[in-house]
Amino acid sequence: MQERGEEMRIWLIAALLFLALCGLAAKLAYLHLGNHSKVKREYTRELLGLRGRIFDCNSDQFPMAVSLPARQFFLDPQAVKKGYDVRSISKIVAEALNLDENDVLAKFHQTDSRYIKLGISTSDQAFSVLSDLKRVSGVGAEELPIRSYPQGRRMSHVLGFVNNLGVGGAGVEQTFNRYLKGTPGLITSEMDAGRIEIWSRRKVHVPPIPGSDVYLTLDHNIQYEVEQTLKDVVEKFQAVRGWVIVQRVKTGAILAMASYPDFEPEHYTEESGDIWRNNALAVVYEPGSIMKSVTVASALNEHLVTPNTMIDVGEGTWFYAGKPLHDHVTGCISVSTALKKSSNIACAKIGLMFKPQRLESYLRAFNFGDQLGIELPGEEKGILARSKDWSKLTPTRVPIGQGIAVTGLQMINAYSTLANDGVMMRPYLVEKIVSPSGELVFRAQPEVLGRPVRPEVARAVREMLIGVTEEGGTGKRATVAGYSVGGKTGTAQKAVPGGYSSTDYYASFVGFVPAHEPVFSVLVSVERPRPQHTGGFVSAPAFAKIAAATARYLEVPPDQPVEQDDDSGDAQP
Amino acid sequence: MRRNRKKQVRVKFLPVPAAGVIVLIVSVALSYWFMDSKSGQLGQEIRKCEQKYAALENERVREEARWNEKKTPEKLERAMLQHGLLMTYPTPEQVVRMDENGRPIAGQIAVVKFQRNRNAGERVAKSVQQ
Repeated sequence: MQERGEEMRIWLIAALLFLALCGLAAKLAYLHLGNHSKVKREYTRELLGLRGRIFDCNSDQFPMAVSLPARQFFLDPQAVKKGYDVRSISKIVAEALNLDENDVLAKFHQTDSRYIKLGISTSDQAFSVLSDLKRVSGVGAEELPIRSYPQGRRMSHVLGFVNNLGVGGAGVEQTFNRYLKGTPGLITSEMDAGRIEIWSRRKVHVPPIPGSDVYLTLDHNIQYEVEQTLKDVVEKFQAVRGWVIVQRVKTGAILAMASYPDFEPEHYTEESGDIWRNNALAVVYEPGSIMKSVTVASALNEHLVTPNTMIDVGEGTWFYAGKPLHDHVTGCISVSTALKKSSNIACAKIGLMFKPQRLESYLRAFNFGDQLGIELPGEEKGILARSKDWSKLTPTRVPIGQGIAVTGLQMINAYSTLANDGVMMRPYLVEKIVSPSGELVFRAQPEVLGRPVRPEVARAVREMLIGVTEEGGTGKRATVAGYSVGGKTGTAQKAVPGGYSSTDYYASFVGFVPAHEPVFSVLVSVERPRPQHTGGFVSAPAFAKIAAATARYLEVPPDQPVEQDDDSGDAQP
Repeated sequence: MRRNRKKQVRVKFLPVPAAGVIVLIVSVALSYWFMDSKSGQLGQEIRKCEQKYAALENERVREEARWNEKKTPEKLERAMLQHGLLMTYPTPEQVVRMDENGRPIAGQIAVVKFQRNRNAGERVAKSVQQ
């Protein structure tokens, strides 16, 4: 009887243990296999898709714009737990983010918001310090990419900037936004009680795709020289602004493009929208005498004149349609001399040799009055009225660069056309676009826009333009030791309501090097320089400096033997 | 003798098939538990490696950006100036271009200047000798 009782007890204990085990097993199965949709265990994390980089023409050695992974730190004053000292947290935050401690402390007392931005940091160390829950409370962080421009202001007007939403707001950043922008990735999983992802429960993992890289035709070394020179000339002559373009004549590729004043793309909001504007293609101005080369080229192409055709410019004043036109040249001069000395009357008389429609068609053939289609936003068309709307005076003024408004880009492209035997190329500044996987998305091909003049005409004009930089020419300050230079000065009065300003001018010089076999062309334009205001005095020396540096950098062989004992290798002042 | 012998309790244990089933269930549960914990552990390691990789990748991007900031033309110029160095591109008269045969191409500024100086030197030497 006693034995039976003991046996029963053992069975009972075994049964209880078995039941307990069954309960544990059931719970285990429930936890592991059950669908706990109501339990907040979902874990979702967006992975940063960084924006593509922008490089200059030197392969991927010199990025001009990169995206960096960073964190936006924010403060929730109401989330600060009891027992934490706000002062010590402020001190830690201020040290980690390089902020003023009192400013941070003041933010802790702002109780009207639960999201107060503290600052952005790319440092992992700052993140580890500020996420230490033993010392810090109420501070959070969210990942975001920031756009960085390693060379600061370099190429600012070409690169543009990226706004707070990560969208390109100007320049290449805007035009190629759809290629540059990255695609964020996603992780969907479950998290444990410590809010850490359970890797084995990961459902979705879509890796981020960075944006494509854009390679420019611009060279940061040439750009550096250009920007330094432009800054110097604008500051020296107290000018309002200036712009410079350097272009390869054979392909139309832009080697450098600068406007001054410039801005820091990373802090673009610190400057006004006026400063963001790329003056080289957005400022429309009357070009003045630099238009005369186009007039002469058109007249030569029409067989209206030859370089030796003589034109009587009188005593320096010529009345036409009741309006006087002044000149500093007198007597009877050849077309070649007219260009060298920049004679207004001679070029105006050449303009009168055309039928207005024909002159207009030549100007349109040089692409004046229309966009050239460069890959930058904000390119202006310029102003070229239809010939049927011209007054009697207009055919005498347009040939000398009045009554027509152009952009710097149109002007340099016209000179590059003359330098390229009359073949007009489309200017471009994006060489290629490469996807993150190395696939070539886009490669630029030089594109012929037209042939406004015959090759022999272009060569004849080039020869005449060499005279401009020689002794007696208006552009002798544009000479470069060792190289032949062809170019033209331009001093244009600034158009103001009701006429022209007597004090404000555009001083320009545009030319190409070496003049006999041109490799590149350069345009320098400065708005309202003072006290000197002529293109020959203000812009020609800047041209010489830029051309000398560019020729050396591009290793263009000198084509001029030294003729005098000149110890200075640099361009003349 | 028989009275002194310790009384032996004879208990009937589980039947062997039932015990076998229990052992099997427990073994499967333990195996499942072991493998789950092992895979969870591996998952955590993978997750940590992923995080470390992402952090290192981010660090690489930032370091590259820092290096790129340091090698801008003006910073290189400034750094060299601190050491009393000033580098500029050579002037045309400092450059001698050679042809395919390794001879200087005629007409270059440097060559012309060199020849002129050499001729002048020879003239001076001759006049001194005379």
